[in-house]
Amino acid sequence: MSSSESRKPAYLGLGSVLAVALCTLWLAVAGHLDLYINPRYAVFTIVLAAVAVPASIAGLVVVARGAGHTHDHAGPDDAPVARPGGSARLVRATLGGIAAAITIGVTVAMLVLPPATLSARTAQQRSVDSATLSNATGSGTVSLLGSESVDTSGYGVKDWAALIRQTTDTSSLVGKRVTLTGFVVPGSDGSFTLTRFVISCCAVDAQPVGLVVTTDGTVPAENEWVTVTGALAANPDQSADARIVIKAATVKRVDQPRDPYEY
Amino acid sequence: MTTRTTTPPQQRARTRTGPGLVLLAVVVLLGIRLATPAVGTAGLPDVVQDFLTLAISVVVESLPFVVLGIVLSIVVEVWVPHGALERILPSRPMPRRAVISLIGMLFPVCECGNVPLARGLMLRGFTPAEAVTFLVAAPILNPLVIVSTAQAFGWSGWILPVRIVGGFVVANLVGWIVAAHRRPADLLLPAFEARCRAAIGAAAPTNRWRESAAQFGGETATMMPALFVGAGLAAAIQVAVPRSTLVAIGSNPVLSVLAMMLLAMTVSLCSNVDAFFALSFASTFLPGSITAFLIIGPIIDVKMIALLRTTFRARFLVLLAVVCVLFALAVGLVMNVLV
Repeated sequence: MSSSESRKPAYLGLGSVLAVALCTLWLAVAGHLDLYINPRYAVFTIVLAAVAVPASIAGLVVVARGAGHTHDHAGPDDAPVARPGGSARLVRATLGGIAAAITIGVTVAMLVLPPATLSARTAQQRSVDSATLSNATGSGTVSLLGSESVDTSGYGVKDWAALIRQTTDTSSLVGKRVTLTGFVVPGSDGSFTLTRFVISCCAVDAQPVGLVVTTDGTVPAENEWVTVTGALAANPDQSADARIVIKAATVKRVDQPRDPYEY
Repeated sequence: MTTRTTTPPQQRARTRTGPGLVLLAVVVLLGIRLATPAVGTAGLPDVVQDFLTLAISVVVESLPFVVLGIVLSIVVEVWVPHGALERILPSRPMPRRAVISLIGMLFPVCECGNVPLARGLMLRGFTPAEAVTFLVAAPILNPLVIVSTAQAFGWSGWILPVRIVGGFVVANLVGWIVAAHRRPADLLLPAFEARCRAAIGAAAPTNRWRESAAQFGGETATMMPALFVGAGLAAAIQVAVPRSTLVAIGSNPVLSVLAMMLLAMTVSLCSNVDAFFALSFASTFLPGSITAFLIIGPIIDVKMIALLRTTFRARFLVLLAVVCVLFALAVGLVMNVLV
């Protein structure tokens, strides 16, 4: 085996760390880190990405100087070991190749493709508003509502969805004016679900929350971002899960907000 | 890469081509990133786009913890003087492992950082049983995790104390089983075991900075492909399996424990942050099920399996999975019945 062969795993490891760390720093500078993680962890992530950049360059310099590892170890420990039996070796080499391909593929995708939010497909698959979200991630304020004095202007989709679920006598909510922004998950005719993802740590755990919107106008297309203005009303469809819907006065198409998630 | 290299360092040629090409590739990729639109969709099908978003989010979330784990393992292996750690530990095996299971309180690594650090401990001469005890305990018994769990569930109630005590007990249980193994070294991959034997008793490195940089290269070479495979698996499962099927069985005391454990093993969250995710299920799932999620998640999940495979043989993973799943299941069921 040539010595350049033995360095390949180190190139892969160091190159992918460097690429991901630099991309993380770019995301932070561009203000898009919150597409992937909750802002709560932004500082920690940025600090360690900043550590990883010089560390991986130093690693590359050491490899360039030909030292490799002083324990004579430049490759991973799961690299195939020379053995008389060839088939096991072939399997391990193949698995190693697949792992390398995934590493390179995801790294390249991360840098070449623009970062995107999760789509309506995932929202449907995770069942929007399946009552799994409690008053969740931190805001205990929603339960206070019901009295007129509470200011609901700062409420997001998550807050309203939680409120509707927690309120036993929903008639007290009917008539409340709301203006909310979210993306469209199509529903049955004349209605759609205004949806936002709620992130507790990163996009993997994104939980969709939503409110059913009924409109006399045309239902916007799936995945489109809209701002809905209207009032809460009892759901005309008695058999539906959602007891309260937004009866839309206006449905306005908008650009995707800078931070598409709620927390 | 079909054989392990045996080339002595002095015979290796200096090379600028390889590292130069790697740097060039990274710079070109970064250039593309800067030149193209900041956000948007590339016109890919939703499935592919969501898969990539999920996989990248796991990588972005995990990378800082992996880097922290590697840096701490370099500190333990290269910078802490020989004997300094060993002197303060009890010499009898069981109390020794009990103290080792608390090392995480000093080195706050979660479930991605614990693998490189456990490797560092073994390279220092810790036995596999001791390293495994640390491996299982550290992602639960560490200040960041305890604080985030307390933030999510409060200091009162059963979830936090059962998570802490449960983590300690299961770690020492696994450590005890490994110690009782006829030949614990058989649980390690042969290449890593050989490297441990070579490292123990080797002369201290002459240039620690250089050794640290080389170590960083060696550890990233092992960890990064595993991290990407784990992230890819977690994302693929998320895209393919509707979560609603799991969540639908939340109120059954037995099935809900199994459902939450399965969720923990597929979502592959970092233990530092999993409590907030579990909180969002607190209204539909029983406390025992939430606790089972919080105990099993840091130990075994698809990302962890990929990371552990860098160091351990499959038979150890089976042992670890069986012991920890049974333990978490028992804790969850007892809690659901009693609390």
